[in-house]
Amino acid sequence: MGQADWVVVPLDANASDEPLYFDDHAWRTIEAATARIIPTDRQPGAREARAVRFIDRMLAGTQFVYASADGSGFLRMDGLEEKAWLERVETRRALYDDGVVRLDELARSRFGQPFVSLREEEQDAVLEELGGPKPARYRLDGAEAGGTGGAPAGNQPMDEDLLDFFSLLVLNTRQGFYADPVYGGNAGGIGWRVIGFDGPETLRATTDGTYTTIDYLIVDAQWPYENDPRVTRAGWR
Amino acid sequence: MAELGHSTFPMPTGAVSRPYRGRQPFSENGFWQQYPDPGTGKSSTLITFIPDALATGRFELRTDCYVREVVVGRDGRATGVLYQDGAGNELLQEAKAVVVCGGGIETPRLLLLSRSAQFPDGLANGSGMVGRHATFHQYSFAIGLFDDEVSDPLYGFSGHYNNLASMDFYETDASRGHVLGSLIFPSMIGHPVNWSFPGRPSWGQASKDADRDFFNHSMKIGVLLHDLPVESNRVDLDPDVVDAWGLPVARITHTPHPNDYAQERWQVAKNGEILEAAGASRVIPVNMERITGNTSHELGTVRMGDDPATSVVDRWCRSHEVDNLYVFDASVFPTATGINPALTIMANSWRCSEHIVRYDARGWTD
Repeated sequence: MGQADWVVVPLDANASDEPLYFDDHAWRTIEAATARIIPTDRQPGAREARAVRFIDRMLAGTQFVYASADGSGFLRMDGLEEKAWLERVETRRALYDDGVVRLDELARSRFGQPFVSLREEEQDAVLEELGGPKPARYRLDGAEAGGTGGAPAGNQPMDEDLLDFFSLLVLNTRQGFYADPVYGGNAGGIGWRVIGFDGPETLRATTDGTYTTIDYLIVDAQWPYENDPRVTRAGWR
Repeated sequence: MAELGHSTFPMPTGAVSRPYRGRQPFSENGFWQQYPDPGTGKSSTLITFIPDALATGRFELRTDCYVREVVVGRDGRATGVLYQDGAGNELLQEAKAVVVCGGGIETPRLLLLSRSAQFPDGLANGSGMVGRHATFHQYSFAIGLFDDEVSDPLYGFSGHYNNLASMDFYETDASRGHVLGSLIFPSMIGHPVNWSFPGRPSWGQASKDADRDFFNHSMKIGVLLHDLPVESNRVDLDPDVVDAWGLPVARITHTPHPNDYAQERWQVAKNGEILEAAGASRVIPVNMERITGNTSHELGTVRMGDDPATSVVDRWCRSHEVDNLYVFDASVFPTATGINPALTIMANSWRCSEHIVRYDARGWTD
């Protein structure tokens, strides 16, 4: 059966804010960690975006993997496809299960409390034990900042299956902040608003023509665009 | 570009820009860049040729089928293919001719899997050339970051992913110290979930600040490396790893030619100069050492040529050794070219299909 013929199950990753995979302690621990990876400042962070719910749905099984193109549910995987994906989910579950234990061990040995009870600076110190120094502010004229984990160098896919816990957590938090809200994170598109991405209201809007970026374009500009006075005017303050 | 003395042209894009044969141009937002478009905007084969072929009533599409072998008869000609359907049934499809179009990795793999007493090293592989001369169109780029106190937002997520291209660097220029060249083209770096650049702070407040400061103040100019075919760069069968069907997976062995490094380094630096001229406050070269294996296309592994000793298929993409076996994908490209291959693959398929109908099919009987 081709993927276009897969059954759409009317599931909603955002139907509740309760864990489907994590236990309560793991849910609160991972939520606290995501909140240090993309912190809340004058704008919402990973906690408000529900990155923890995105991660929980990812670990819950194969039911939230392929959103249907119109956003009405998720495609039901089966056969070899599902078998292969379950192997991936099981690997990630083990990384997260061990990761929560490790965060608590480090937290207890350094500060005498479980990770979720620590102050933010203490949580950062624990994360630094796993992922190395916390990156400093990026400067256009400074050295490269770096840090462990996160998105790859370009816009190309990466093999998430080869990542360790900290790198996976950083990447998944980012996905939970910026992925389409249909997957359980980026609640209400708040991750997109933080960086100024005017994304679609719903996934359906990308397939029925109602989502458009036409407001950002100079529609009847003539080639060569760089000679069009309206284009020339744009760009410089 | 004009200020620097270079020419540009609108990038041809495989998508409709106005309603066409029932298709809607919903992709002016570029949202499905790098993903299959569930709508009808992008001109993939599934949207264009396959519906036309189905409408003739003379074409049947069998999905979820997995061909494990091209079968040959005693006379050495192809008689059909062995495949497994979605339900796991093993089936033999008889055929007057077999056209393999699995792409530059799966096509040589299928030929190498199709071993028999007559073809012990794989079908149509008497030359030993099946799988060799793999080229991959490494995609490298220079990133420009623009100071938000100086420049307006670029809003790279709007419009198509690519709008502009230049062929000014395509031809060999000996003064650059290397041969060949390629198309270059500007674009956004990626949608939010993929957007990043080397040296970006990965977590914490610095990470969020960098995303906020530069998501709409960044772009890249890419190069599709016109890489040289090297005989030892190859696809063969993995001796250890099998897929879910128990068949050896493709193994890829590849080391860039010194000219690839030189060409890529020069062009990425040039792209950086263009970004600086456009007002970028910081330019970050992203060379292949930083994004190993960032390939765009798979080509060259069943190369076309007149000499059966050094090539697998002839100028009509017909096997030198098996006269009813054809390959119509980018595997037949003797050299990589420095542009995207889809249009060339399509044009070549038309050309060779016509040749089959006019000449080769004459000898076929029912």
